[in-house]
Amino acid sequence: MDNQMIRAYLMDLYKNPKNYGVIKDHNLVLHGENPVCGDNITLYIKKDKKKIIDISFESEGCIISKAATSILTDKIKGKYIDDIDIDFFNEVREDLMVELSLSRIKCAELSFSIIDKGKKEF
Amino acid sequence: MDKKNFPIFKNAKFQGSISHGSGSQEKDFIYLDSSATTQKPQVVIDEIKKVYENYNANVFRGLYRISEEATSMYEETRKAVADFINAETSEIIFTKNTTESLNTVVYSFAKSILKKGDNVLLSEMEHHSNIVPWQILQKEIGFNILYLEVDKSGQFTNLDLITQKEPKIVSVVHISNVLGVINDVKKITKMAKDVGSYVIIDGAQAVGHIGVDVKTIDCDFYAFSAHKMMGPTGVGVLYGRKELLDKMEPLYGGGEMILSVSKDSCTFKDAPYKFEAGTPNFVDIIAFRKSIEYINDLGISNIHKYIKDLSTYTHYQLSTLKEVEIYGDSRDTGIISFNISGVHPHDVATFLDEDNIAIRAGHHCAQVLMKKFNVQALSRVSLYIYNDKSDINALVKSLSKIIDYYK
Repeated sequence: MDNQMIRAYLMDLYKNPKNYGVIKDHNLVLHGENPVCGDNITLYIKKDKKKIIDISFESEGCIISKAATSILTDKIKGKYIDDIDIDFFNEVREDLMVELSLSRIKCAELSFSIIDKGKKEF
Repeated sequence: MDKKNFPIFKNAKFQGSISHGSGSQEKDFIYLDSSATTQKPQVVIDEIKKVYENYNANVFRGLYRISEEATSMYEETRKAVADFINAETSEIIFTKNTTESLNTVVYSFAKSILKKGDNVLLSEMEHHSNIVPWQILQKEIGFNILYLEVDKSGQFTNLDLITQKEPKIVSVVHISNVLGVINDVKKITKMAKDVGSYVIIDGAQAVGHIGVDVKTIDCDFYAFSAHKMMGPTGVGVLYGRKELLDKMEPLYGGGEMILSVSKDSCTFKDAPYKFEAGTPNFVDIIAFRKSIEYINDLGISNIHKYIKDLSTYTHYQLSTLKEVEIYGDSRDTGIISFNISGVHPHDVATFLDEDNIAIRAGHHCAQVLMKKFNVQALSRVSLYIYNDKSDINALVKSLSKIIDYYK
């Protein structure tokens, strides 16, 4: 894909993110903020013991943070929490298809770090 | 004004290849982030090299020619700074930045006079560097921190708090790094002095942009940084009223700030030297004088007028984009914060970067103000003497593309 197409793809994820909103029967809510820019994300999770049955999110933030959360929530749906490691985030970065500057990696990382910190809630 | 004297504009051109399908082309570097740091003219850069190549010897210590020359150049900068803000040389302390200057006042001065229950008055438009040190000291002593409130236009709405609460210390910013408003620090100081308060002014965005005269303001302390007025990074200034500096204890102990040291005690040099422990950043301090001379050659009132006119032009151009909302009404300085509805400021900054346009996006170390305005972040353009109308035209053109893209 050329840069124009990548941009259109990211813009589409931003405008029409997957798993956006609040799933009705969630039994775990995780929230996190990026203190640098004020981006914030709330994850709504339906879990069964260690398994993520369903997940959705609401967020305020930039294109990268919303697109990354859209991709991540899709990837971890149906997975066991203990299996979610840094490789998932690396896949998200690959799927974003853009080279992220140091300051923008934080935007992409927020949803993953919320999940990572929330592991003890499972 | 003089873009050619700033080598970064020759060197930071960008071979654009991904910008909005416009193909590969060389893009000039358009720097609109001078509130974060200003670019340096060739004379300042040359001076740093010259000092390292000709006068590199530790100041005050060496009993040889080169060291004495370096010392005398170091003191010449102190004189230039003192003259620039109408102070005495004994009232000018070199620090590493405005933050260190403010922390020096908090710990060497405020700590010794504040008691539990006292009031310290700040404002909602303060930079974190004029909030956080107070909050840290507050935990230790238990004084109250009060805030002057700011309205949408950027004006204080409750200055009468000064007379009502009789704060022991008033510490406010001269020019807001977000709203660009010039606060009437002379009036605030007068009101504060009438109730016996000490007054500290954070002048990081003011010195080098507007004329600053500490005697006319009549404040007790005034803090600023060299790098925001075309000087080197790593050099801050604290002005302090002589009689207060004489009474204050140093913040740091170490080399060159003492008269004598025994196993049990020590005596300190007089101000300002007792506040300059250890080897100072003398190379950059010496070079700092070149930026003051550069400003003096242009004339500070000419600089202020130039930026004010360009700011008015920028406000007008931005107002042609209906999606742009500007925060604060000030056109007196080159600081303009805005948001584009539906576009996150980080995305604005990233898109502009593709056109080699540098702006700041974020909370600007002013989260208290961000919360007041109920925004997560803002985009900010800040101008200085090397900017011109063509920069603003390029900005507006690039912003229009972003707005179209989001439609």
